[in-house]
Amino acid sequence: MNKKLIWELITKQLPPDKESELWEQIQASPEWLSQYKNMKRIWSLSDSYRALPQKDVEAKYKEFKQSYQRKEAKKSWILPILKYAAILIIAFISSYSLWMFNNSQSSNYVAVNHYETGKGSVNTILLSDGSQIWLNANSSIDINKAESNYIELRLSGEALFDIVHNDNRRFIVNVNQLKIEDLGTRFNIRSFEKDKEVIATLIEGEIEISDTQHQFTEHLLPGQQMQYSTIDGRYTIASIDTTYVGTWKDSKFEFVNKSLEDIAHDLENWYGVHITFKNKKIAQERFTGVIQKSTNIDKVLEVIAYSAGIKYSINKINNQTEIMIQ
Amino acid sequence: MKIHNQHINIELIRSGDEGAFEKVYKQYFSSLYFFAIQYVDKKSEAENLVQETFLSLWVNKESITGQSNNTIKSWLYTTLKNKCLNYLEKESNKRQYTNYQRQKHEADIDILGQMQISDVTFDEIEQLLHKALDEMPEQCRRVFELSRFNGLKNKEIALELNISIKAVEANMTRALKSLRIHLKDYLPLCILLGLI
Repeated sequence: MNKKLIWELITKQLPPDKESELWEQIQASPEWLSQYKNMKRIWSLSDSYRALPQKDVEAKYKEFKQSYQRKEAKKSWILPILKYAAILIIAFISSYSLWMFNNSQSSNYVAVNHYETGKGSVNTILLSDGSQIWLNANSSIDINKAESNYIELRLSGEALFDIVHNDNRRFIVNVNQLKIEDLGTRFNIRSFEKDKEVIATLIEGEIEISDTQHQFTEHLLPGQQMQYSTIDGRYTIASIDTTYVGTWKDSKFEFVNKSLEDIAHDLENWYGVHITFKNKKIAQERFTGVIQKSTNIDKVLEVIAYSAGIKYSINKINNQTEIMIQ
Repeated sequence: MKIHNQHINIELIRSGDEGAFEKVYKQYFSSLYFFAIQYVDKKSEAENLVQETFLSLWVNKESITGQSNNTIKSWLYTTLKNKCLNYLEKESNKRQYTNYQRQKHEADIDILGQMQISDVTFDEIEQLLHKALDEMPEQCRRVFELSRFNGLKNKEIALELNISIKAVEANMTRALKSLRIHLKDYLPLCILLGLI
């Protein structure tokens, strides 16, 4: 045993079997172990390594800039949100004072607001009463009516609602042909045009769902999920595990028994890539898992391909990344 | 141990100047990555932690105090060290280890937990390297710098300096010999030879 061997271990110059053999000796002697720790500390701080090629660092910087701009984009939302919150508060205060003076309630403030998220970002809308809406990537919300006793909006894409229930105020979400009314609640709604369905999941509280033709009215209980086909209007209600519902707001992708096709849509929305399936059967296979959104697309594909046993190819044409799953 | 540190204007960083920030990023990315990969064995994770470190610098830029040229460097290393430590602690619950891997993992947690990073650490190492470089013959130093700081391969250095690859190699050997004398307490020659 000598210092030179320890250096070789630290700098990864030993074959794996030698490594574990040497390690046993180090572990057996407190003196060598502290020697090892000391040497590794200095080595890691010394930066004694060939610099990475400039073009690699350049690429990393580009990647970094994108992610920080994403963060900045998130920040710039605060302004319109605050404005909106202020409008609500003002509407509320003015209605209150009118009531005080005229003893007749009248408030007809209509605020039409449009919120939209691009690919690769998640945004938050705060309402003046503390209710919060998270808007997923590639989604939009139009607020049609915002009165002190009535809020109505239209969603396209996916959003998670955490609504402070108020008996004196109705909160209604229109999505596709459905009308979803909050009865005190945390719920997630997903309806991307590509999905051909609306999925409403209730995490807490109660919601009422009806369609615009008044064919049905359903109440969901916590843990229940409705899947409504936008093609034929048929729907099913099932109990599901809601642990991962809405985790997309925490920069994670959650896939709970989700088809590869739906997963592909999530990836398209977040990474701005285009994914096609050569084999439609594979697209319907279902998977469960959680992936950090900060992971780059190559890695995500690698993981999915590995666990699903599929092959894929990546083509970069102009600025568009085309991914073909075989 | 980048000798050719460009001067970093901390005031510009604090005020959110993107150009200054880009400079910092490009100057330290390699070094920080090298640090992280010593403890975090997955390449993509190591890269992620470095990216997060820079993101954290950007977010917290206004709260950075100190004037020394190594202030930012110490800040980056300290932040990254804590991120690596967090990562290892989380990872130890998740992974299945062999005995050897677990012990090594624990040793790494110890090293990071006790690591004190200050401006002084870097100043010391840099002074030593400066002294060594100063005493090298001109050509020898150029070869060393191009390899170490600009990341050029021997072939590219030969082209750049208009000398043969053999001459590049010979100069590199001389450079390392000279370094060994000055840095012998810090870094034995075997590592330098093994990696460059």
